[in-house]
Amino acid sequence: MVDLGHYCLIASLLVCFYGMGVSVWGGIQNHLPSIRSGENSVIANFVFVVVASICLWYLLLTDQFQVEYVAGYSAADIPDRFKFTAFWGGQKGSLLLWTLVLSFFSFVLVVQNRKRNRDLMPYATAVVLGINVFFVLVLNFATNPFEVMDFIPADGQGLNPLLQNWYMIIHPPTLFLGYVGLAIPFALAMGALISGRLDTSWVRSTRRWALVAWIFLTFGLTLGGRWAYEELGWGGYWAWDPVENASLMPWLITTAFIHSVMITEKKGMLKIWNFTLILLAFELSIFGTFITRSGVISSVHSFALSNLGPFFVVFLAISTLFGLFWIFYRSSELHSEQRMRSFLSREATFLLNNLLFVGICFTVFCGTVFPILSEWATGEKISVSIPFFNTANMPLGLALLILTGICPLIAWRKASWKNFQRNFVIPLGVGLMTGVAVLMLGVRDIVPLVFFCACGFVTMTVGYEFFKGARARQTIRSSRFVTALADLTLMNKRRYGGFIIHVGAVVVFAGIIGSSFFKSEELFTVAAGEEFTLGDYTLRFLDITSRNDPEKDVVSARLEILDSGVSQGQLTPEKHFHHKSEQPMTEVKIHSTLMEDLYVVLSGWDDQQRATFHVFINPLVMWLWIGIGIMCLGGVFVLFPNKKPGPAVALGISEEEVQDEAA
Amino acid sequence: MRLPKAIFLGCLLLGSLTWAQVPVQKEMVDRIVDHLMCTCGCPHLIGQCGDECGVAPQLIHEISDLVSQGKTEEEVYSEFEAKYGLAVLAVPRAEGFNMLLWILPFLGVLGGAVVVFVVFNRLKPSDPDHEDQRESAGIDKEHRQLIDKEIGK
Repeated sequence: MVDLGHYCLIASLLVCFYGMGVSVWGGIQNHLPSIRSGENSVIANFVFVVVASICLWYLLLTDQFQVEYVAGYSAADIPDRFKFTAFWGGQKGSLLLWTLVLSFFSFVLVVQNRKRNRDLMPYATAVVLGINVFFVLVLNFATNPFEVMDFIPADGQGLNPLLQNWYMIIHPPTLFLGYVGLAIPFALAMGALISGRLDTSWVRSTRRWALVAWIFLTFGLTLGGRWAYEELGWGGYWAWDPVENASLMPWLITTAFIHSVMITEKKGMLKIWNFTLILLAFELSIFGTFITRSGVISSVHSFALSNLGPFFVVFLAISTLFGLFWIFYRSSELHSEQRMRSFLSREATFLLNNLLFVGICFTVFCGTVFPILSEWATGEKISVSIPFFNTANMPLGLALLILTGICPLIAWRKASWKNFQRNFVIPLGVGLMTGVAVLMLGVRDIVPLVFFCACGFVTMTVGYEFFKGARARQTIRSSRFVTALADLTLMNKRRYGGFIIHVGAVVVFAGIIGSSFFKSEELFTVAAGEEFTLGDYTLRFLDITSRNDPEKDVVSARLEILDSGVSQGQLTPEKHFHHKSEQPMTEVKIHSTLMEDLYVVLSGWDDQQRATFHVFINPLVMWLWIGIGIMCLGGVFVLFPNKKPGPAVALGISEEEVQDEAA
Repeated sequence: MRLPKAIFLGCLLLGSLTWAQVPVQKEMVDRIVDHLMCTCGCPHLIGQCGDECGVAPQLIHEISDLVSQGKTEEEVYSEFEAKYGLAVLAVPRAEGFNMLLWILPFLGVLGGAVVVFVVFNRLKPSDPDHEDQRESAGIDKEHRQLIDKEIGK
């Protein structure tokens, strides 16, 4: 199996090189057999990578500890599911997973475009194979997962206990699906630039791929946040850690692209900008991989220090220069087909929206890399952490939230005072009323107050948009309002799915504001039987016990949640001492409600049944998870095809145009 | 339970107890622990690292001591900087080269705004009325009537 895996990686490298060359040749000569041969290379590469991956899984599941990777990240006594996930528990395996996902997406790209985008496909194929070449090259010559040791250890070192949970089973593959998904829009964009097919056909294909990547990135980021919340035990879900930032940046740029590509599709504008965003999103996905694997920046999420940094730097440089060259080369053909009339127009708000997304991304980038720059320049190590990111991003985030409400309602070309009155007076009123309501609830801090006002405003703009559209349809079709609303939504999934995503974003913002500004925490040291109170919660410490599991020692405390003396259930926060790990692990217990999380950490104890608990009340955290769920569902909704078209569409006018006119 | 664990956790407990004993300055201590990095080698703030690394409770104890001695927030930061180096500050002071940390994002957004303005002006029609006619011409009368009907004009 070791040899088979190794040979498969070598075969994959050869077939990628061959496919890349033959695709370019076929594209230049317009030679169909060569083009097909290049595409078949993608399929062959996928098969080789799948076989190599199966080999690694087999080695992990059968405890082949002579393989360095298996010995380093698995052990005989860990459950099979964690032996399976040890595949991506270390650097080598995770790079193989990356390659597996990339080869799968490349395969889907080729199959999907057997009859479509024929002009650009040879070059898109060459580009995806080029990216495959890089990763397979690294796997073969720098970080081979099939490396065999001179001796066979009795047991492996086991998987990091922090990674032994359900979130870590799905978080890395999900995030990789997002990261790697960005390689396909990049390939399609490069294919369009190289072939000179710069009409909107590449935009349509690219947009769907970008949306798929965006959904996976969103979901992957959330799983990472949830993992941090439950496993790291510090009471939060986002620490602006470099690796977290590295996954946020491509998400921000992809979100910007998904917005601005609408302008290209509808108005034929911002073409260069969209190519640039696609390039940037892809490079940032590679940059994220570089950050995680190079060891240049310290992070709880990063792999051990490795020799991969220079490989990634070279690949980043080559792919960036390649992309920039083709954008520059075709720039004269990428002129806008229409003009922009006013700053008070939807086109302009889309531009502003992009400015904010890219601005936030740039701010995050600065904060992430600045410690390295500063050390180079001054020779002194510095830290850039949460206070910087929160302070710098807060005004941009607020502006973005407000724009989320303005963007879909403002008229195309030029908004008039009448348009403003018709669309914004009621939402503005609702925004102000939200502020008053929040004020009455006791919130006095200006920042959350303004954010909640903005949340109310945006929710109303979206609600109003659904209402207006459904009313218009109800009038024309004489149907019931609910039917009209359902039809409206199903007939234009892209537009209304987008609104659903916006609703999710508002809920996420509310969750972030609630959990950031109104969080409370306290340390309590109590004896068994004693009670303590934080906020509306009274907790009674019942007892503390210890037990010895096969792979760890566990200390467990029992707490009873009381409401007016009546028990509302128990929490059992724990500390785990894994035999193969030096650090104790916190097993947080969370009592979640829609309004707040009671988050309890067992911090310390002594032999007299006294224990110290770190207790947090984190308001609206549930909103964050629900909001992201809504965003992901909205994204999936957008991907589905629309319901059968109405008469206007049958005459050649898209439903979207009809709705845009209504707006 | 093994002895080293008991000692380790005893230390945690001691640190935690000390922190809990100064409710008057607690708010200030809470603020400070969210602006200083833990020195255990992790990339976390002291306030985030308290329950895992074992070093944070001692740092919190140290901060509590300084606060109870009447030191201001700024003085605590300075003492920590002198003792543990610049990297203990969660954000470097905005001076010298590190001033760039605050300037760069601002310049980036400002530069972006200038680009937006330039793009907008480049894409602005020289004759808006003519442009309107051209755009309207894209939809014929039949389609326009259908749209009007659809939106209930």
